[in-house]
Amino acid sequence: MSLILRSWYLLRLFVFFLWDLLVSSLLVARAVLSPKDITKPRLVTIPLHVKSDAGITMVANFITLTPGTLTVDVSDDRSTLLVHDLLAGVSGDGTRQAVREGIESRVLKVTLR
Amino acid sequence: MIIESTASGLLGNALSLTVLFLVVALLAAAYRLIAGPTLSDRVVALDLISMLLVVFLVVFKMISGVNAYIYVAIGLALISFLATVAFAHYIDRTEGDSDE
Amino acid sequence: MSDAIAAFLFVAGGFFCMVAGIGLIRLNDVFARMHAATKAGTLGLGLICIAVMVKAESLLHVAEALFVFLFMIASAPVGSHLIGRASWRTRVPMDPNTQIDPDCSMFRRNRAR
Repeated sequence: MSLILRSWYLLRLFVFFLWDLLVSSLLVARAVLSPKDITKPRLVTIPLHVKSDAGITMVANFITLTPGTLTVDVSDDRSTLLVHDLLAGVSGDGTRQAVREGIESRVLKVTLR
Repeated sequence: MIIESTASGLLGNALSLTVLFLVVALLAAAYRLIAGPTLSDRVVALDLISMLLVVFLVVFKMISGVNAYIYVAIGLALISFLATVAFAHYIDRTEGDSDE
Repeated sequence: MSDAIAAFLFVAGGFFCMVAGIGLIRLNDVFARMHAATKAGTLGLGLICIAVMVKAESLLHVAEALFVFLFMIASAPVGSHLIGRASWRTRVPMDPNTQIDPDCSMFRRNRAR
């Protein structure tokens, strides 16, 4: 039963991810094609709640293909991600919140850890 | 052998336009590959070129109607990141000694 | 009708690939360029694979186009993650506007020369 539920969450994660890929590409296209430089790059650290290797891999890959962000490094104790945000605001809090609520909670429902 | 396009009309024109876009992208990536100030820039350009090659193979499958091209695209999609992995390892090991 | 949909998807996919290429020229540092190459490139490939699926004659051809896309989204972020990590560790020059979170010092870098 829980396997069926997890497969369902995996499918939802995939659809959510395709939508995010579309949005992020449009944002990058705007940044590339706008005549003046609108990028506000920032390196943000993101504390992780997923513990399993599969979970960390999925979170890192999804971050790379979702709006504005790109995974750069994982800390040695595997508790924190270093993320490059192309269109960050004045602080990294928005990015941290988006990752925690958007990506990580969905990945946790699939990997459970 | 001259490949005759099996698509014509609207789809044929769309495919021609797509190939034009791909050529522009390839030229841009080639510029970064030659000019890129650091080794990392060049590896990113090489990564994009191999991805564009996969895209081109899929488009060319449509243009020529020869289905075998998509198998080439599948194979290339599977192994294209290996070169990037090797280069990334090389950059990391040379410890900032990349050109400049 | 399917011709029109496929034609639109092909042109849109080609456009995003071109955005990836132009982004490689116009953006300022390695990390920003990786944003363009990874996201816009992946979306371009995805749209073109969907266009091929629209025009496919059999289910097998649909599956082949799907495989191309799936293998690419599985492998593209890995490559960009590794280049990002190598660039961070070897202190590749960044866009001077880049802001860096204070706790980024926990991520290992090679010593400066």
